[in-house]
Amino acid sequence: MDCQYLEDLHELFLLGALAEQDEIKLREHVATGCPRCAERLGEAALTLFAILQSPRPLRNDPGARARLLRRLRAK
Amino acid sequence: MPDEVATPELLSRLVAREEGALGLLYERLGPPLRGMVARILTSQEEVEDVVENSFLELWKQTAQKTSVKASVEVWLTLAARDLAVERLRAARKSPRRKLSPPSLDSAWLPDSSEFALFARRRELVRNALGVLPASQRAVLDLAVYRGRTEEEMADLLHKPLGRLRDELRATLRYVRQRLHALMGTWTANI
Repeated sequence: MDCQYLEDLHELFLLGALAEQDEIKLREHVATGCPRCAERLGEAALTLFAILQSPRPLRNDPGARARLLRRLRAK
Repeated sequence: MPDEVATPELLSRLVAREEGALGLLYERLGPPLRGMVARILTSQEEVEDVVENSFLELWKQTAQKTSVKASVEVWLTLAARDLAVERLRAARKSPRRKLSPPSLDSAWLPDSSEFALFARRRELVRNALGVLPASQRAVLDLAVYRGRTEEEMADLLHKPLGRLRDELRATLRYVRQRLHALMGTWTANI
């Protein structure tokens, strides 16, 4: 199936920013196992990752790691 | 020291259910996640909670696995963004579907070798994003950090939906093409 018309939707799909009908269209098409769309989703993930890496990192709070492990053990 | 152990090795230990490995991954990968989540949420407590939840989700999703192929850096970033935006959307009672972290098993997730290539060119990528015009950055920020849909953005910016879509999709296409040029590896038809 030609999915050229979906070409620019993958980043917005991962962001949850598409209108519902576009999202359903893309989701249904991806579910057919389209290799091109799988490739585009990977590309979109890396593109979004690049954008999301822009903010300056913030140092961990002291004690944050211990808190995380306490929460893990409490589960 | 955490830096003496490579991330893939820590991930293997995590898969083997070593709790200490989760703590070491948190030490290493927490700061960029915290910076990103703080662009989305203002409460420090919520930021911390989302970052911790992302790592707890990683722990959960690595249960009963023998290995993980996907880049944990990329997965954690997408997962933390989704968890943070989900809180924003809940706070404004958005009717949009719930966002949830992608499955670590998703075949489309970039693997660690793709991430390594990106990491070597991180500064170039950052510079490429830095030259986006302010108007394009503003629309991108609404989609990425405010969790707005195309329809919501058109309303907020008082633009026709078709025009907003064209501009936003063109911006994302530009970013993607710059990354292609810098990394020179993807095979997409651009």
